[in-house]
Amino acid sequence: MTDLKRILYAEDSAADVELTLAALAEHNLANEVDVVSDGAEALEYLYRRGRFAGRNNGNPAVVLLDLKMPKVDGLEVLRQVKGDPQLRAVPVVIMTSSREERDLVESYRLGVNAYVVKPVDFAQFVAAVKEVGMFWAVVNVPPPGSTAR
Amino acid sequence: MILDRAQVAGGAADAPRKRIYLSPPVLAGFALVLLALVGIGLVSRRSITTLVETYDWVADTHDVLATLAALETEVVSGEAGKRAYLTTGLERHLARYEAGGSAAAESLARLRSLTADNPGQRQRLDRLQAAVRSRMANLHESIALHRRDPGAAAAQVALTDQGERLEGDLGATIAEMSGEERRLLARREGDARASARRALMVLLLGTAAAVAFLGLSAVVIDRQLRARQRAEDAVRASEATYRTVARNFPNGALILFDHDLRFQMADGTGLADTGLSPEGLVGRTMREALPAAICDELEPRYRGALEGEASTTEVFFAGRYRLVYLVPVRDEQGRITAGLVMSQDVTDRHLAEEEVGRLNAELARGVEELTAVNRELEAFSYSVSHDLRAPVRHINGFVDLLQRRAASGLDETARRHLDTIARAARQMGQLIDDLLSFARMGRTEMMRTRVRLAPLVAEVRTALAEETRGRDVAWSLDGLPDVKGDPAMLRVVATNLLSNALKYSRTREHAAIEVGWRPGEDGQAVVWVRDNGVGFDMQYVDKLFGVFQRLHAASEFEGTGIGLATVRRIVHRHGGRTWAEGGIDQGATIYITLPLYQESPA
Repeated sequence: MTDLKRILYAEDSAADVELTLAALAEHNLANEVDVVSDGAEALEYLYRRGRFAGRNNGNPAVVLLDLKMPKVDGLEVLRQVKGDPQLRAVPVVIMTSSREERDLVESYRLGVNAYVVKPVDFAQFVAAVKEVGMFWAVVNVPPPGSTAR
Repeated sequence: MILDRAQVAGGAADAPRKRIYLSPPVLAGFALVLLALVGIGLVSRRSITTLVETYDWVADTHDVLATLAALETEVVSGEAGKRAYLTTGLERHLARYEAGGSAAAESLARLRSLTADNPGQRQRLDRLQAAVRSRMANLHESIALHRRDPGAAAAQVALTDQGERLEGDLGATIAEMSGEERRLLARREGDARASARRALMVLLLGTAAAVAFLGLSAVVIDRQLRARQRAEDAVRASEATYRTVARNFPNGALILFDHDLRFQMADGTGLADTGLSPEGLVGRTMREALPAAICDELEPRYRGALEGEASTTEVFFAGRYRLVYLVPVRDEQGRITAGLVMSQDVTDRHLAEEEVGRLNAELARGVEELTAVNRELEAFSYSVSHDLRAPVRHINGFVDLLQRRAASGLDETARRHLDTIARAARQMGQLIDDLLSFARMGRTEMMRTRVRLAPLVAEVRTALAEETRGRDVAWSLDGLPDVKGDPAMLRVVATNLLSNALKYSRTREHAAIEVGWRPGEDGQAVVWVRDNGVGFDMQYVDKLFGVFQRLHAASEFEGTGIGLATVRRIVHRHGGRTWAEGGIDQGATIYITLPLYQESPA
């Protein structure tokens, strides 16, 4: 079996979560995804706080972040991850609805690893999600400390 | 009075009182004249003294000559008395003889005093005296003989002979002395004449010299007076110039003041507005002529000007704003002789400036409002781009999922409806993207750099290869110029124009698309994209570049109606223009102008 790694997916829209998981499912990647619904939960997951206090696996192979989320938005999560020496090495991919110039600029300034605009067309969306999932969860060699399943 | 006259004449102001204004040449001339006159006086005095002496001498000489003549007569008279006595024997005739003898003695004494200063004549006088004595002794002897012996005729004759001899000696001596006196007379008269001639000569020469020096001095003085007159004329002229300047000084006044802050001159078209007059100012000091408040404000500057420090200030006086310039006035030596006030009514300017300030503040508020509106718009479009796109994407995604799962259970109509939903959602997504792009083109900062249109258009053409697949398209990309602008924006322009040309020529078997250019006005390039497609009706040309304006049914040619609006917006931001030409089924040409890139920006 392929050496799959876990994916953390932060997204507040249930519809988006369902579509993304559907797209990943087409490529047998859906089971490896841990979904949280906002930035605060994403941080709790990464720092093993709150309901993730008991989590005993290591850092995810990649964090997929939506930008517009309640409580703590994607850029803030990105800032904290890239500002923490323990987490800095974790790859972060922004998945967003639009390519607003300032989001793009700010994300790269903070050290994002990839920036993906979700295509409106579903076929293209599926292709994009597949490529992201395959690349980061399968092709890419993650930094030490990432836990295999 | 503007300038000190003494200074105009070239003098020093420091020692104005005991000054001699005559120049050295004139002074020298006068000294020479004086010298000549004194010389003339001295020489004349000497000459006159000599003449007087000479006249005295001449008178003495005549006296001597007369006395000599008288002496001879007196001796002859004595002889005559003796002869009468001898002839008549009458004693009374002897009186004449005695009178002659005493007169002769007197004459001799007189001669002695007259010739006291002439040794030669005195010697002769001694001889004369002896001769007279001998003659008188002869007469006495003759008379004594007659008394003793009236008949002694022979003896008497001998005495008479002797007397005649003595008479001759006496005459000779007198003649000798007379000759000597006459010679002296002649010599003295000659001397006197020569002296008089000399005196005359000196007088003439001296007078001539005095006249010459006086003349020269007069010429020099005249010249100096003329120079002074010219200088005074110049001063008067400069005063007149000054007054003309002052009187016509627009909207203000020119005022001169001296070291006591006393006004020397005041004039100007704006002086009357201040309630002041030249008469009210000139001759008065600042404190006497102006209100105390304004004096307090301006006095330090007045004094500053007199110390060489120019200054400018604005004062509010007599209901108007006045700009006051204060400058020192210097003479040719650079000394400050006065201060000059130039005051100008700047109320209009002042009010205009206030108005400008007010308008600027208003403008700033406007800009602030605009910025706020712009921020809101940005937030709006940001929100649109995120929140409007997501549902569209969801519709698309779930329609797709539905089709996969339920397609087999749906009839034909239901499947068509699902397709329509999917297409509508895609179109809405495209519309949102185009609108956001359109908004972005008007908002984002733009670069102004060199853009090579030729490779840019070629790249865009390559990027559109997908749309030309299976079509016969003849491209003509004329050697396009380099322009100045934003590369990303111009890429949007090229993409819109080329994809439009491709789209509307789709129905042609042989499509032909031409991109060309020509130089336009003001360093602009006119660039066009021409196709041989379906074209458009020229009466709707105005709608071509509007947002959401379409000249073809969406079913005929897909599109959002934003492409050309975006092109126009970008071109306008580059300072260019857009227009179009075409006809139904005759193709279309879209023109844009862009600034040509210049190697060295002027």
